[in-house]
Amino acid sequence: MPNTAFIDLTSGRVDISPTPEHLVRAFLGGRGMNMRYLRHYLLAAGDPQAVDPFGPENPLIFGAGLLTGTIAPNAARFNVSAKSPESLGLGDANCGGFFAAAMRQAGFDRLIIVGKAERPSYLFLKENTLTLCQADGLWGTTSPQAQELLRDAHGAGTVSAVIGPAGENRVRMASVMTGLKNTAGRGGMGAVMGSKNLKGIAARGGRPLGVADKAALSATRKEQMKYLQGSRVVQVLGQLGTPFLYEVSNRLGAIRTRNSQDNFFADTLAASEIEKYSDKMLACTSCVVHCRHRNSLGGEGPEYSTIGLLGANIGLAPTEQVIALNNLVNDLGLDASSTGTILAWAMELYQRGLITDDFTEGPLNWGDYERVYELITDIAYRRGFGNVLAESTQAKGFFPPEAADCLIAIKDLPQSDPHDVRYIKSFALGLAVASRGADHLRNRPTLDILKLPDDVRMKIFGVETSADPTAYEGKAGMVAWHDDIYAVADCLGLCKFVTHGFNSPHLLGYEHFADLIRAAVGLPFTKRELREVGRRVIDLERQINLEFGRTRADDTLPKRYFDDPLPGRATKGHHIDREKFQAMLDDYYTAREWNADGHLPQARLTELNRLTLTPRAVDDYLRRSIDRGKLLAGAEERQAEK
Amino acid sequence: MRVMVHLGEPYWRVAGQHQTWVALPPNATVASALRILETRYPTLAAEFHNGEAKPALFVNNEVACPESALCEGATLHVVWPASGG
Repeated sequence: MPNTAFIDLTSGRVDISPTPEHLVRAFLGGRGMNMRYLRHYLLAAGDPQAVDPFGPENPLIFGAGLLTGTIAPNAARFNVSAKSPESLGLGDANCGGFFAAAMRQAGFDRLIIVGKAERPSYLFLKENTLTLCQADGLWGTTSPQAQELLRDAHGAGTVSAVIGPAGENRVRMASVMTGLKNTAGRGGMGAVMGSKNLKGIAARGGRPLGVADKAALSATRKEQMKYLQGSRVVQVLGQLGTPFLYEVSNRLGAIRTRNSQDNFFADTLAASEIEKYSDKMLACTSCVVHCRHRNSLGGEGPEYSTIGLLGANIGLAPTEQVIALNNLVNDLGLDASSTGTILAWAMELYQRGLITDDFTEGPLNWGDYERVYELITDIAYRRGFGNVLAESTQAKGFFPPEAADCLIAIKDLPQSDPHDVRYIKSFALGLAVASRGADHLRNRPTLDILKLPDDVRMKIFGVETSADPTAYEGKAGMVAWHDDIYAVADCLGLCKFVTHGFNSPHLLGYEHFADLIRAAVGLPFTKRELREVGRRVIDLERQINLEFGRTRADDTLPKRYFDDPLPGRATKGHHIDREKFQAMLDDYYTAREWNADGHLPQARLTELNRLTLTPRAVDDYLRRSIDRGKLLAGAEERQAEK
Repeated sequence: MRVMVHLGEPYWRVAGQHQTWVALPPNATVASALRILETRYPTLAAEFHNGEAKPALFVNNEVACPESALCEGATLHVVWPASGG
């Protein structure tokens, strides 16, 4: 069974204990288990709405998927969770690379970090031991520099998850980085790490993970690899990476352009142009896809999201400049999605005269590469106007009230992907109800674009759905189905690119997951039981959001998506009808078996309480940790005043 | 009539070119144009009928389907149907 380490950075106390099997059965690992502990700790700290995201009581949780680090296909991923300083709600970011496998091989499946280190520090994990080390020489370094220094200190084979200058400076959209590009980007988890004076976590693996049935796992991997390699989507991703997604969105007229004022852009950002700067394709732990470009400018990527949001969305067309910005945000430790969205927001405010040169410290025009490069750096170091944008969506208070109408965010999280959702209504619903805010990786029903036959859709979703992407009816069940399976994939540590329903109906589904879990962990699950894990995680996240004060009114879309029809190409004239959207939301709540106001039925809440609010010993431990943290923090302040 | 076909990812790699003209009888549909492409580039047939994802089609910047009508000088875009990454 997995091991969980509880770390109080204030006192330096560490407790390590096996994760109870009943929790593994309920939440598997990764995202689901992180959510279990997040709710537990937030409630133990008092009122979740009152928890300061940068305070010592905000738990920062690193959790590997249940299969991460095994030879299961594409089992590389981990989640980083906390109260988000960006959205002030549920914070959760998912990441690939090699770190999580090393963390598990060093003996740790989950790290729950509270408190604040007295000085810049990092955690070193090796052979079931965890050491808090001083990071004075690391503070101020970029993400690649920090990882290099940690490799120098602890030897080749050390893999780290670190923050760059943006995290150190508590930029609200700061990411946690591992490798040159792998990013736990969403929700400002890097800023939470910075607030704890924690520069990084270095793991020296080496201890092979024990599995229940090595021969069965090997045979299952072989069989599933063959299945996946037969998928044309997997093949194309391995050749072109995610940039191939740009073309269809752009052709359709659904690429977010100049802060969603336009909906199509230059062909210079298509995959065939990105490919000219690609040295080779790279992979994460146990990956069979190999979707990541190593670029000739010294970094990795860009992904489709970055191309769209640091390209079309800010009106920047030259391929090389977009790749340079991609490398810059990765080095500084910024979430490319939030950064591109916030920059575009500011550019539109400037375009409309809502902010002027005296506030922005100079012109802020679409496609001005030099200005954007400088401004991104200023965001990371919180300098000048960059210091305002470093507040991400929370910068609303610095702008005129009408500025909020131009912000492309939901639940105060900037939209993650470059796809404008005014045309495909199921995409719009998915963004509106995604638990961490405007994010496509929670539930995007990508199959909706395939216009699959009725019988195929019924076989997949098990409920009546519509094949018309512009229809409002018949979408709720589809989104709920994707909610669940993506949640289970995140709990297992699997990549979406091998998960059934993500751009293909021919990837790994619940039956495949069950085979892997049985072989790796020895726990039997039926298809129904696995989907129930997904439902439980979605319900738990809903409850966490409710406890953050979110309501049905927060399950909505940016004003522009309702009020402004798309201006060009095939999607011209499409927008979201408010009344039909509300009906779609009703359908979704029904599909999820929630009340009409979006609350959970009492029986479900009782079950979640049973699973998240015990054991008492952990409560007591937390209370002690936080009290001590507050006392020490208070003492430091008093000392400083003297 | 003649129709300009633009092949997107990954189809153009199979055909070896991004765009090509096809000659069609009057009142031809998109399906007719696709059949000509499959004949001209036999490996494209496997791409179009891979059982996983049928191409997304656009005629003169409008969403189209195999039954959509074509006209003289029309532009047909054939691209991979995917979203989310």
